[in-house]
Amino acid sequence: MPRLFKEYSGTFLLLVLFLLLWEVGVRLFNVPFYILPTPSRILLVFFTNLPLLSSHGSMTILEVAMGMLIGGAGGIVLALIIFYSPSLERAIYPLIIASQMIPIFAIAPLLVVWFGYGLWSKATVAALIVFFPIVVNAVDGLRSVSGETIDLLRSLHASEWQIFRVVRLPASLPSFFSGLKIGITLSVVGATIGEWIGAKKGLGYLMIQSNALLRIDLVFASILTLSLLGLFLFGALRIIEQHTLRWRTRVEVNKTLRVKQ
Amino acid sequence: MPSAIAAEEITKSFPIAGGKIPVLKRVSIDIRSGSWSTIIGPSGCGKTTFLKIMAGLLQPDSGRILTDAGEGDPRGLIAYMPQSDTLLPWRTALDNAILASEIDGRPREEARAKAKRLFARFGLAGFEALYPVELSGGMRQRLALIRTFLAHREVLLLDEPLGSLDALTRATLQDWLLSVWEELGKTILLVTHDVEEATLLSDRIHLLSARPAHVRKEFTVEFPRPRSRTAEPLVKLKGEILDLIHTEAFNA
Repeated sequence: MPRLFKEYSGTFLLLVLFLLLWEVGVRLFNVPFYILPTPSRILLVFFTNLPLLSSHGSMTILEVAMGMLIGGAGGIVLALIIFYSPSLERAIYPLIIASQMIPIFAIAPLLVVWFGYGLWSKATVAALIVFFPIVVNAVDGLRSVSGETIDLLRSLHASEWQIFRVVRLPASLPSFFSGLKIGITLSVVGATIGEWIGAKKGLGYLMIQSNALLRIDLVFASILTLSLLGLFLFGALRIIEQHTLRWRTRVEVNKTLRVKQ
Repeated sequence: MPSAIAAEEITKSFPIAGGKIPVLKRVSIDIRSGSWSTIIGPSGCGKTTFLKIMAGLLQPDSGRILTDAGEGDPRGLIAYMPQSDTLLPWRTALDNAILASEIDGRPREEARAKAKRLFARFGLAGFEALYPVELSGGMRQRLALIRTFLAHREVLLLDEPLGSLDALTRATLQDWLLSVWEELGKTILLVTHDVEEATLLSDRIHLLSARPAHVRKEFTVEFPRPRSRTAEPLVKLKGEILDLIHTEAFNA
């Protein structure tokens, strides 16, 4: 924890400064709490409503997780198809890119009609957002292996499967993780949008409800929960990444050591 | 000495926009088992293309590669080392060294034990658990070369393995490579643009012409090893080869 604090001390400082200004400003100008609550009030509401927030938050996490799973799996399959079949690539890639031009707001209501108010409409929204950065990054990763490395393996009579397992898969992992990291932040947004449009539960739903009741403090508490959730997911992914790509972590550590020497 | 692998009248051209560019013209080279042969020639003359054909990575337009088993795919007989070290950055030095064994489906622990012994024998002890990026340029080349020796193949095809190193490191590694070869006893076909390296290490030197390359001249080097870089016959041979290369480069 002290290390974490040291690493992000600038961030903490800025945040504290911002919150302080906010607190003082609201009190100074007597802004009513149903327009803009003070950070201290938001924090109070956050802690007193923790059971409510965590109950809605767990729904949002579930949607994000399912979205990541579906979008991730779909993205990997598409990336493999695109990489191994040039003709399918020409057919699929334009469609994938075109699909990203459709605003998610436009199709979210349809998804609610098709998949209902429950988990799956939101998981689908998240999956649709997530798969794109994963496809693009995974394809780049698969392509990152040099021709000479492939030559080396071919000269050893390695099969396509061996080349994939020994070289292409590990070589594509760093970019795959980049895709996941972009995807996971986007998927939180995606799930929340889905919840705004139609849901029975979730932080997005809670925000809309609280907004309608002018419980702005609860809206902010939801936003706080949402950002904590995003940070938690991102952090968890980073830990998995660092564990999977130990060689890279080692390299980065060595580089900073070298710079410091 | 029987021949380990031979190239017979290899011709190769590459398609370019609106035609073909001839690269190799009836190149024949016979490599004796256990010997060290070197191909040298002006840059861009097609040395790498020739080596790739020897490695079974490219098909010649005409001509053939002959091994003990007759004509056909030389893979299984050869171990090819590309120009860059092509070490896998996510594998430790030791696991990079056993790559070929893994592809061949040999037991991993056995391969590791054997690689460890070679590491200890050839100056890589203590580097087993390091990743390639943590190694110096010279160490990386050593590792890539050990990996090639550990491929359990009879003939090693080395494409400018020391070309990227500074002169001092290169000289050290030339001696080192010679000692490894003398102890492990393989057949080597080396591609280089370094004439001194060729004269220092080889039994035979095949000088290729400018493109389209053919064998311009062959030299048999009979001086006993280890050779001195400054010994007079070696310097003389070096001069002779350099003169020929310069003529070739001007003719290109």
